[in-house]
Amino acid sequence: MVNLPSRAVAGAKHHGSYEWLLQRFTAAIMAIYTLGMISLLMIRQPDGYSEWVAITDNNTWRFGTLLTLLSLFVHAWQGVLDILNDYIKPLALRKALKFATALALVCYAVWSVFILWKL
Amino acid sequence: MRFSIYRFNPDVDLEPYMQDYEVALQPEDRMLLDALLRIKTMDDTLSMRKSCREGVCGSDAMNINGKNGLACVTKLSSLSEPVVVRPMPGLPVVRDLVVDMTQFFENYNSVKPYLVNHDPVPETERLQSPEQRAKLDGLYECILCGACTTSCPSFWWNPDKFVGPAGLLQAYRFMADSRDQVLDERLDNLEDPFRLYKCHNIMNCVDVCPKGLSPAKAISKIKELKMKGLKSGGFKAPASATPLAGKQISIKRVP
Amino acid sequence: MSTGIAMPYHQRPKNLDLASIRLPVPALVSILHRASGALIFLLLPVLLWALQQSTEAGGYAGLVNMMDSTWIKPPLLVLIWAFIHHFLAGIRHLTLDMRFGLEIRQARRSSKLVLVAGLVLTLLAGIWLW
Repeated sequence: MVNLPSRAVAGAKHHGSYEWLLQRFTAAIMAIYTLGMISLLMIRQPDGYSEWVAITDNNTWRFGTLLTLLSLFVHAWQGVLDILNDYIKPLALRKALKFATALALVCYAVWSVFILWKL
Repeated sequence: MRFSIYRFNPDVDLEPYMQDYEVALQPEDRMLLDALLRIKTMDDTLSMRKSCREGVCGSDAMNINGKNGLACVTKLSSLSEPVVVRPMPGLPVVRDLVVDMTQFFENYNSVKPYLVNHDPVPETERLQSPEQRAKLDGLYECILCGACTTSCPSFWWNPDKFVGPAGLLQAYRFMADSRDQVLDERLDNLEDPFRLYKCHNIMNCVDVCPKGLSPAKAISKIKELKMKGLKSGGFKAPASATPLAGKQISIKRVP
Repeated sequence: MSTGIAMPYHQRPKNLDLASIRLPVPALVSILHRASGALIFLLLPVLLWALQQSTEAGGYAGLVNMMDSTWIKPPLLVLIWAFIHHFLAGIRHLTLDMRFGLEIRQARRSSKLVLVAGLVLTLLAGIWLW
């Protein structure tokens, strides 16, 4: 039995296929939400705060928006990782920027919950 | 005809520079390679690789007016002046238009570009039906000139991690071969955030291939096989990190 | 200038003078996909802040006032373009992943379409908003 090497980057812990698929899955969620929101805004043409509240003050909107925002943060994480891996060559700086990105995105996720439920 | 050519001699120059040439071409000078050899009769320090001068050996790939191609099959009449000739991007320059292809071939070797078949060796050939053989069309013709891989930004930024279009075309060439028996291992070999998935489908590879091949299509076929693998039991997590395949057969750099 | 010593391999130059390398349209669309994504990422706190403002009457009125001011229009149009371009280039990505339009001529055409449609839709969005 000839064994092909299982990977070339020795010591790397990551998969590739899951990330690739997740990037597309989160994109699809955001695309559906975006098209839905744009149609909703075009139909309802909210003019003023009370009409905006009528659209947003329900749990369907809240959970849909939260799902989309979380998809956005996961999607952004993969995208920023891709950019940092390509252009930032000093290892310490790259690791620091990855950490800062992860921290920011986690904060955004918590903040999103606070925003949507007016906590 | 006017030319502007990338010059670098590591024994003399600290930095590469562009040198202009004005050449009186002869009637028989039809291709860029003819012109470069004509220049070489004026200035014999100009270095380049060449061999078959008919687009088969893949030696004289270079960046011509911003686009990678083979000098020997690039018509002079198709080029605007001054013709800017530079070495292929993203590989270390040995001298002038000659680049160090070591990384390129290490990446190629890392996909195990040969048949793996555990059956006893038959008396005659391992036969294929015409249909099975047809699946290799558009894959086996690669001459490994490096034009595609060195036109790919993903390779420029991660030459040691992303296999590149030429290597991935060969990876699929053996996945598609009915006589090969290690499809799963070949797919696992590319299970990594960089090796396969750094391809973002910009298709510069297809744009420049002098043989008209499409590494982009081969790569998307590999991704399709990956997704089929997901349906039937998931992506295999590599059992352990093993050394780079290419290391066993790597070409040692001359210090 | 002669150093008399051969330059070590790891110090050899690479030809990566990007201005000298041709950029095909699909590559342009891809780099703009990346740039627009980076821009949206950097502006995430601003977008979340705007969403937060919109949930209160006072904040909502403030946002409406801001939308009417002139200075907001150029940056907002850039952001809208970034979003639309990223969206369209993403859809193109998904179709390529599903193995549609993988011929180079189709890929060139679809990338031009994404580029132009992104600009046109940004214009339309601007007209719709103001």
